[in-house]
Amino acid sequence: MEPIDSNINPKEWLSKYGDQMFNYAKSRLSSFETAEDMVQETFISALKGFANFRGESSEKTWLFSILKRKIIDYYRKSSTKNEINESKFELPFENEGFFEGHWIKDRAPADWTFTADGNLHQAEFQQVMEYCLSILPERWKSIFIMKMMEDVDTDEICKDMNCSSSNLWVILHRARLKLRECIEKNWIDENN
Amino acid sequence: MLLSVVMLNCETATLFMTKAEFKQLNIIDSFRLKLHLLTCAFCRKFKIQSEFINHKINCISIVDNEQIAHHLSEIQKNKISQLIDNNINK
Repeated sequence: MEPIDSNINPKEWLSKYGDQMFNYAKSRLSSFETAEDMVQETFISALKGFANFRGESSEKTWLFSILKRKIIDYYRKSSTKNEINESKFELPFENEGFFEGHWIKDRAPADWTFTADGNLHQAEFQQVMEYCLSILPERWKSIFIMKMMEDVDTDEICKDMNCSSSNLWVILHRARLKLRECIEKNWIDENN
Repeated sequence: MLLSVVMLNCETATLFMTKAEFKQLNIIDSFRLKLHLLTCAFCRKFKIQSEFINHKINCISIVDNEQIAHHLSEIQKNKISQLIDNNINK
């Protein structure tokens, strides 16, 4: 198979984009092995589809779009076979009395003002984020990643995940609440 | 009574904030959210933190090599490299 465009050489893909693609996959998938498989499968698909690559986007954009599609497909498949365990998360809001629906004081958002100092490192944040995503119920994680990280259309997610749009907002909301709390505990508190 | 209809609680306000990231709220809900944010410091913090998390998530996708948290190991690289070679030679 000869490259159509002489500037594009599949032999260079790994050295040019391998780490970035692996990092991208790992940030969205809990397991190193799955992330590695995704990168591997992306290269195989790219080689198969190479003849059809017209160069309308950059080589990097094209490879990442294949990887992105593979991750979305992975979550579509995995969310149907994993058990749903959503009930264990207690919302950080009072559930009765005059202040029903208002923040429970010791679970309310704290000040993250030091973030403006530029002390925060992307790689460090990514690791905390990955941990916090890994403790979300599988269905929440799938929906959060598809919507927040891969920007999949709401209707498409609802169809794939078999949920109504109002249910989707509730899941995204709960996932956000849990992530926020987890990041505060594991990253903000650690750095202060 | 009227006040409880107009004023959101924090649970609904944070749900509206999540929703508002992707679709426009209707005028009434948008007004109720603004009003709530004027009076609730915790929800203002939540809003700032949500925006910060979104920004950081976007950054994960476009990091340069120095900021990468995970790298392929040499073993993984050799394996993938071999796979690419095999497929090119097919």
